[in-house]
Amino acid sequence: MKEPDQGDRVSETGGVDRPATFAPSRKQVGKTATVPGSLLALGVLLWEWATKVVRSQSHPPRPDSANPIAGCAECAEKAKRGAKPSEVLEVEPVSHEQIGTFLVVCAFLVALAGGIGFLITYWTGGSNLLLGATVALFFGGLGMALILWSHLLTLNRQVEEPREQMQPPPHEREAAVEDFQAGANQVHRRGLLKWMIAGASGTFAAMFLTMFRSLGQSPDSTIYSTVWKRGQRLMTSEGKPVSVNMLVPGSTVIVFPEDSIGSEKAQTVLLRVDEALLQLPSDRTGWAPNGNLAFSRVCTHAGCAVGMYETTTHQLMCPCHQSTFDVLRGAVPSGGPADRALPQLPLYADADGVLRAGGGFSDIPGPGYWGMP
Amino acid sequence: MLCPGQQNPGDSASRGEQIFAQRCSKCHGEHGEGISGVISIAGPSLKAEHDFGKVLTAVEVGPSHMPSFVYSLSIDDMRTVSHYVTDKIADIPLEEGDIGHGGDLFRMYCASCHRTAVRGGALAYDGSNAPSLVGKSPELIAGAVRWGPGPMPSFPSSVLDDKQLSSLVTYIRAVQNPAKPGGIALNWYGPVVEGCVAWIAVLGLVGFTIWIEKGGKG
Repeated sequence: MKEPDQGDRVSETGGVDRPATFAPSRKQVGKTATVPGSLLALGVLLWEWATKVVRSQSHPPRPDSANPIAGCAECAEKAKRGAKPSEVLEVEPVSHEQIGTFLVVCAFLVALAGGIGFLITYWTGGSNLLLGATVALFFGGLGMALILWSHLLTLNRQVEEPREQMQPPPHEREAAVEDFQAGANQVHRRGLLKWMIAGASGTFAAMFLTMFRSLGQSPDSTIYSTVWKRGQRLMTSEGKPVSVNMLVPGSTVIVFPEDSIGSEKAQTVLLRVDEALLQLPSDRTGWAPNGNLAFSRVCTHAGCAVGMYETTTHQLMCPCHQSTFDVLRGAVPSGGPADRALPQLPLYADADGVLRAGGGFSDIPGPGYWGMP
Repeated sequence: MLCPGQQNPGDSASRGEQIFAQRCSKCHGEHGEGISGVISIAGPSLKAEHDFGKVLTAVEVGPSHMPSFVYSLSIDDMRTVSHYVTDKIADIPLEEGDIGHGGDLFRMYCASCHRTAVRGGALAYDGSNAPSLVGKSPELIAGAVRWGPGPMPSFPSSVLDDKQLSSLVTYIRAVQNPAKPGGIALNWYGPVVEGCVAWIAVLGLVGFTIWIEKGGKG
């Protein structure tokens, strides 16, 4: 609904319309420092900028009156003298520049607030919702700042320069020097923005690096062993001790050490086979009372739970990558990508017939990694 | 002998036992426990078959590989042997269990082979596979869990008690035919397959868009 007004104004003031259109909003910014006020000013500015872009596309500014640098008397003179459009590049009026800078700084401040909020939230153990919201604020502010910067503070039009004589007349060269100086001054004035983008980059780096903390504690030497110790009773996931005759040949159950029920790394598959079939290595005699065999349930390939047991072929199998282990020969790999046997847990039956661990696993349980196949 | 209603129960039971030994035990095992051979030529466990109607129907109709007995047994004999199965053989009580606990147990002991979605999967050796449990009756599943047909491990009551077995069966029944909120379930292969299909579909749409942009030529 503002458009007819502005259209009129354009026709009144000719090409030099930006100071007129931006003046009210500038006042507004100065007047209200509150958040709603700033938001309103932002909205108005965006609206005016959008209408300006639309207008400049439909009515390109006339060459002889293309935006001179406000306050630069020579430039205005030069424009009057009829300089070619290429010489008077579209250097934005100061008011526009300032407002643009203000908006970009505001957006960067929003981004910084989001980033610092993220850091504070993370280190004080805030909720994931807050973490996500602050990250969104950071990237939203950063993106807004970069968009505003590119749209408001940099030249946003394609510039064409017709080929000229090789040696321009002296007044053109002077004008070029002046233009260069003006541009250099402009770059100089953006020191604040440089600091802002440096701050935003630094905040992002801090946000990125700080999340490495969430990778958890260093595993230290705990990866080389489990909590299985000699004498520990085998327990089901419900805390029932396992007797030597609980299983029948061809059945299986998952067991844990008695004080660490549910421990993922100590989980062990207990199965029973016909004792006559066993072909265990000679140093493992007595590890399988009544044909009860216990192996680590963590696949030595990639750490999945070795959950499948084929009773007809006596193969333990991992459902992730089809590593197969020959139970009768001590779970040596018989197929698939795993090339280390499943560590076996030595067992013995106590006086009550309850199965107990005869020690730790025969090998390091768990998947291979860079230090271990 | 002509009318089973006039016999005393003991006679009926012994007659049922006799028929069962003659006609059923070769496939279903001497005590109806099933035969842990290759499942396609052996009968499943009858230890959870409590429903007289279902058993009699099976004897008459002969589901799957089972022969029908309508030409070799009289109606009275079929009724007698069905009663023998439900009264003397079936000893696994099946009731409504805790579906959440059943799910835990299923993921722990069954899902490696039968998949969490109970649709079955391949096994390691000799081309055998874990069958899909869709369409399998609770009695069949319960019997199979106890006895372990084919390459399947058995889970005696010392490992899974009757209550746990009931919970397991309750979970399996719930997952056999779940609702399909997404429309196409893709055999419940899971998020990887769903994502792959989505990618292929989106790539196809992108290609189509490019084709349109070129003016629909070549």
